[in-house]
Amino acid sequence: MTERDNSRWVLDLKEKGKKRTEALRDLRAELLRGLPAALASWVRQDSREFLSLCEDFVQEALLLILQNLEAFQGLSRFTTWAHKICIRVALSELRKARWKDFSLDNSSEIFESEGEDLEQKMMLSWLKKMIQEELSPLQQRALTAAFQGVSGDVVAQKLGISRGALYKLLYDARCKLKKLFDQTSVGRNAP
Amino acid sequence: MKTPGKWALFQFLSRWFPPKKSSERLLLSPPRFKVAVPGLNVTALKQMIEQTETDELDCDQVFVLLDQYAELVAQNKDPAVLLPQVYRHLKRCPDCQEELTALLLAIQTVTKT
Repeated sequence: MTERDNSRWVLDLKEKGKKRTEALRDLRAELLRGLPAALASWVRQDSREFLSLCEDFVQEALLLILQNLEAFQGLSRFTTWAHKICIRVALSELRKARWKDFSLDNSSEIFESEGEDLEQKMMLSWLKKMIQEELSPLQQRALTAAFQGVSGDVVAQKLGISRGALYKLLYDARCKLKKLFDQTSVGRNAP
Repeated sequence: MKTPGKWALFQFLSRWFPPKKSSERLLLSPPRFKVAVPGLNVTALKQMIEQTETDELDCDQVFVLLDQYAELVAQNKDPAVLLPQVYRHLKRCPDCQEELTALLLAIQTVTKT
């Protein structure tokens, strides 16, 4: 593999012909070396199918990298930036698979406390009331999913918005709840 | 009556029971299901609301800086001081935290080999 600094990587990938082919081959090998470790806690790695899955992720990542070369600011090594894109591709796909059967409904039963703690029950019922009365239907659905630990990637996809837009939606909801929370005495002594 | 061939049977079954994709077949049990219903963690919810700040970065902004952040961690520098907004976002965003963990594992492996 040819040693390259950041500007060399970008120049070679922008070139046409042999240099670009070699740079793509080297970058593919680099990403394939790192990806199995990155996915160790996500997928079984004891089959050929895993290698083929990695190849798919890397191919998709290479396309994205080529399309977004201008976005590379040189704040890290080029290869770290490329690994970041490859991991985003892989985890987005795996999250979709993990949460395949999740439906984004506005289920209020998650606020039904099974515990005995009175303060916790009060807190939950206050939260449920505020969410239903003060937040928009979209914020309600997104926040309920967030409370259940559902991946933001999956929620954003189901709502048809970007992850950044989902974060903003949830941020506005949290700001509103925080303001209401500060105005009441509910949950002051809760854990 | 003519019996359907294997291929026709496969096509018929595939329509009703589509084969799983590799990403679904190889997936390990999801650790984050542990925090799913029933029984919400009231303390975590309270913290989620109380720790809302005025200058938070969103996931897209953090993604731009994630490679730089990972290298700081890999070099044993303190990202909480150098990139505090990213640090605070990572504490409250499981998706971005997962991506950082995976990125660190990837770059550590590549550096070792």
